[in-house]
Amino acid sequence: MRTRRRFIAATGQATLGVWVVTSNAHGALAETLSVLEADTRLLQTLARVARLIYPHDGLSDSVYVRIVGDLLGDPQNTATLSIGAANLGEFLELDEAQQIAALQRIENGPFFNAVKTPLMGALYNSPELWTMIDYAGPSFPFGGYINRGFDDIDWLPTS
Amino acid sequence: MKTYALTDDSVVVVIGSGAGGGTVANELAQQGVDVVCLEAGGRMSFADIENDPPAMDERMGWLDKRIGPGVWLCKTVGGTTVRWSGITPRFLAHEFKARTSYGLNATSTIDWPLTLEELEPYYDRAEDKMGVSGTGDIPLYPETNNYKVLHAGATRVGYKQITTKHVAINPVARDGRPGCQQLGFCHSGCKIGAKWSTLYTEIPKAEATGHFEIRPNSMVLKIDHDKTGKVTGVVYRDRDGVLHEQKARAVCVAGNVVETTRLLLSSKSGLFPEGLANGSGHVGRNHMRHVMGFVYAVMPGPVNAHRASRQNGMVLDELDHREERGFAGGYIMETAAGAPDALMGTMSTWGRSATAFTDRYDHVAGLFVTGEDPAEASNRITLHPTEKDEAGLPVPVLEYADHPNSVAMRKHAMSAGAAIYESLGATHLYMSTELTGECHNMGVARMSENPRDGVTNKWGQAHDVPNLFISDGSVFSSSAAANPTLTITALAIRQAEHIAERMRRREL
Ligand SMILES: Cc1cc2nc3c(=O)[nH]c(=O)nc-3n(C[C@H](O)[C@H](O)[C@H](O)COP(=O)(O)OP(=O)(O)OC[C@H]3O[C@@H](n4cnc5c(N)ncnc54)[C@H](O)[C@@H]3O)c2cc1C
Ligand code: SF4
Repeated sequence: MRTRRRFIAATGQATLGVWVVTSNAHGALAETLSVLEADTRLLQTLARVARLIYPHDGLSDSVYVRIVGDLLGDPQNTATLSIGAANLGEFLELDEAQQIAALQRIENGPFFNAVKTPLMGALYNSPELWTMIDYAGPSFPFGGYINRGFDDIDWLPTS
Repeated sequence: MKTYALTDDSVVVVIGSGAGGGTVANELAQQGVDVVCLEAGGRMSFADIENDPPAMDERMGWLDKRIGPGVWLCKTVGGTTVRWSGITPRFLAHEFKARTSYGLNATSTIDWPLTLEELEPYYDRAEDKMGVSGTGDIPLYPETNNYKVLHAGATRVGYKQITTKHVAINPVARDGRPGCQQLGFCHSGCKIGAKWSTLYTEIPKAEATGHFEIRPNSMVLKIDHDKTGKVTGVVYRDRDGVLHEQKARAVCVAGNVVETTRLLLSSKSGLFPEGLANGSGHVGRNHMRHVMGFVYAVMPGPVNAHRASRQNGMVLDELDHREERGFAGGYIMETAAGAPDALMGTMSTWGRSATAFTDRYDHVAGLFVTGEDPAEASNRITLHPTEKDEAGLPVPVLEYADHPNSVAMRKHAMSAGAAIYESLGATHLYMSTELTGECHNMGVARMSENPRDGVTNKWGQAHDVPNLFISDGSVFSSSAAANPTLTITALAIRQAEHIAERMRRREL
C-alpha cells in the first residue's frame, strides 16, 4: 500500500492510467480502477485543501499534489485523511468561497491540522517555494550575508 | 582526556551541559574541582552543524514524549545554547523584588533571596565569558536590516532605548571564536561558533583543565542518597541502554526546568516521599515561561530579515514597571526573523492572510516580545502516574494557564509592536502568540529565603539536601522580563565559586 501511494505521489495523476495498464495485466482490473479513482479523488481533494490553506498562485498544482501524496503515503495518516476528506463531501464541486467556508468550520479539528502542520513543514522547505520567493536556503557555502546585503536596506526614512 | 571511575566519590556530578550545567562544570574545573558531566545528548562537531533546520531538529531536538503545552529544548552537548539566539539583557533591581514591586498578592510571587547588587559582579563575568556586545571593550553588534527597521519605527513612535547591545554573538573575532558572518541559521546551531554556546566554549575549556570528563549519551534517571539524606551518586543510562551508577560528592542538576523537575520527582524515596528536595511541595510548581509573542509586518520595501542572525537588537523602553499600563512588570521587543518555515510555524492563520507574508517574504520585518510572567503554583509540571517513555521514565505532564496580568501585558505589547511597523507604512500585520514551543523556562525549584516557599537557597543549594544544587533557570524566584540565559550563566558562575569555597572549607 505504502509503495503504491508513494508512487502515485511521486508521479502525480497524469501517469495513473499507464500504471494501471502495466501493473494489472492479469485480472482485478476493475477493482483496482475503482480504488484508484477513489485515490485520485482523495488526492485531488487533499491537494485542493492544501492550496486553500497556503494559496500561492505562483506554485503549480503538482507541488501540492506531491506533498499531500507523501502525507497519504504514511500509513499513520491514512485514516484521518481519508475520513476527513470524505466528510468534506462534494468539496471539489463547491466554489472557492464555499470551500473556504467549509474549511473554516473544521479548522480546529484533527483532519485540518493533520494536513496543515505537515504541509507547513513540507511546503516552506520545498525548493519550488524557495525559488518563487527568492529564498536562497543554506548560506554557509556562500560565506553568509556579511558581504551580501545583511545591512543594505535603503528605503527607510531618516526621521 | 581525563576520566573518572564510577566509584570515585570525590567528583561533583553535573547533570546537563547547557548554559547552567556547562558553565557550572567549567567554573568548578577551573578551580581544580573534579567534575563528571553527564549529558543525555550526543556530541556534535562543527561538521555536524548544517544550515538545514529540519535535519538539525532531528539531530539535536529533545523529542521524548511530553504531555501538555510544548517546550522547545535540545538534547545535545551544549543543550539549548546550541539553538538559542543569544539575546542577553540583565535583570533589573526591582525585578529581583517581584513581590514587593508588584504586589500580585493573588499569585505565588515572591522576592528573590538575592539582590541585583549581589549578582552584578557575576553579570560582569558572564558577559565577558559569553562575549556580550556592548559590554567591556566588545563593540555593539552590527545593525542588520531587520534592526534598522525596528530602530526607525521605534524612533518614530517615540522610543529612545533602542540598541544592539546585549547580544552574545561575536561582532568581531574574540576568545578564539570568529566574528558573526550573518549566516542566519542561529537556531540550527552556529556553524562557525560566533554565537556563544557551551558546546565550543565551556566544555572544551573545562576539558583543558584536566579536571573534567563529559559523558555524552548519558541520561540520568535518578539521584541516590544515603540514610542521612545526603546525595551519594546518580544512576544513568548509556547509549546502549546499560545502567551505571556514578558516585558523587555533590550533584548539580541543570536539565532545564522540565527535566530538572522530572529528575527530582523521579528520585523520591522513603525519606523524600514527595520527591527529592521537595519538602516544601514546590518542586515542579511556579513554572514561568515569559509573556511571549511575535509581530510580523510586510513593509513597503525589501528587508530580507533572514539574511542576518535571528535576533540582534531590541527596544528597552517598555521594560520598566509602570502601573498606569494596567499590568505589573515590563517587556522587551527584540528583532526576530527566520526561514520561511519558521515564520509560518509561528502563524496559526491560513489562507491569503498567511501567504500575504510568505509571498512577500523579502519584505517581512519582525519582532519578538518577552515579558514578566507571574509565578503561579498551579502552573506546574508533574509525572504521569502510569505512562513511561522509552528510557522507562514517567512522562512529564505540563499544566499552564496565563495569568490575567500576562494577558493584559501581551495585548499591550502586541499593539506597541504593531505601532512600530505601522509608523513606517506596513501593509500587513500579524500578531502571533503561538510559539513552536516555549523557549524560556523558569521556576520549579525556586530560590527562597524561607524554606517553606521554595526549593533552594540563594546559592541554588536545596533547602532539604545540603550537597544537592540546582544550576539552571529552575531556581528563578521570578521570571523578570529579559531572556533568562545571561542570568542562568551568572548564577552558575556564582554557584561554582560557592561550591569550591565550601569544599575548601571541608563543608561539602
Ligand atoms: C529557539 C530558542 C531561542 C532562544 N533564544 C534565547 C535568547 O536569545 N536569549 C536567552 O537568554 N535565552 C534564549 N533561549 C533559551 C535558552 O536556550 C535557555 O535559557 C538555556 O539554554 C537554558 O540553559 P539550561 O542549562 O537550563 O538548559 P539547556 O541549555 O536546555 O541544557 C540542558 C541540558 O541538560 C540535558 N539533560 C536534561 N535532562 C537530563 C538528564 N536527565 N540526564 C542528562 N542530561 C540531561 C539536556 O540534554 C540538555 O543538553 C532560547 C531558546 C530557544 C529554544
Ligand atoms: S548569524 Fe552569526 S551567530 Fe547566527 S549562525 Fe550565523 S554566524 Fe552564527
